Amino acid sequence: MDFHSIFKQLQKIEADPGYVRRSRAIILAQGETSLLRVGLTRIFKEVLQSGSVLALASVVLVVVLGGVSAWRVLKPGLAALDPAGLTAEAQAIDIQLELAGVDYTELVSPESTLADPASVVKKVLRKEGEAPAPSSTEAVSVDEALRLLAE
Amino acid sequence: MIDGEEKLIARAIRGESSAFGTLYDHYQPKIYRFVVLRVGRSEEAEDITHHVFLNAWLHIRTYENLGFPFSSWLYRIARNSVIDHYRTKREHVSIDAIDPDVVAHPDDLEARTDRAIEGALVRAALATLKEEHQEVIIMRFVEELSIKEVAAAVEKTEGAIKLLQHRAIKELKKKLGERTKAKK
Repeated sequence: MDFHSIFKQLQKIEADPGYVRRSRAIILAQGETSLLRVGLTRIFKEVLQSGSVLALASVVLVVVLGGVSAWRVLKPGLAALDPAGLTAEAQAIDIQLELAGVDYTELVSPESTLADPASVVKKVLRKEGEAPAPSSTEAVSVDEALRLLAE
Repeated sequence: MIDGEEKLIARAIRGESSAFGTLYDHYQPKIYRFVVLRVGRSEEAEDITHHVFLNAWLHIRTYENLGFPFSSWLYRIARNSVIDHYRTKREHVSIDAIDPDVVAHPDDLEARTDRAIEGALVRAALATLKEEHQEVIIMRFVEELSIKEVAAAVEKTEGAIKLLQHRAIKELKKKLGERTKAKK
């Protein structure tokens, strides 16, 4: 028995052409509907997912911004409840002002020294040569400077 | 394998029914033949083949080209469908019941010759083999798939397929010998 030729003969087995036409049409039609449904479901899921992500991001943003604002609002009030903190803060402010004053006297230009009473005194005294220039800018007040100028 | 099959599959995955239609036209006769030789009745084979292609079309997005052709994926679906068919339906009709006029070309005159009788004997002997032996013989010798393609379709190694093929042929010859003796 020749297996090869028998198997070749089996290759001739075919389905009924009518069945093939019907089956093909049904499969492609059903498939299209189902694929469309799958596509819509997928789009819906993706929209839901991205919507959830956006909502979560918005909540996080609100919490972060709200937290920062609340901190800004509540921070002074909280600090006011602490006297030691207040004292320390006040001291720190004084030091900063003093330092600012020092900077001002050291960095001002020669032209603008007329506005400074101490500078005026310095100039006057230097011109007259009567007395040495004051070593400290803190010792002379405006009144004294005017009095000196009047003399 | 069809020319440009990868492109056709890609188009079918995108939902183009015409692309899947082309795949259907090419593979439907092969899958039908495999199924009808496994289940023995053309009506059942038609139902199973229809479901194989419907499932393939509905789940074509899950098909991934893992190094074996699209046909192996279809044979895998067909094989599972046949297994399900046997699992759910216990009553079987022998493959002897296949009417050659239904399953073959109507104008196939050879079906009425002695060779047709031999063919019927082979089909009958085939139906008595183990499932895996039947699968290997049909895929290798009727559908002429490569060892690699069969291995991918039945999810076994190529070595296992070679061994199965050897045993299946040996078993088929033995069964045919028994049937020939019985006929005499």
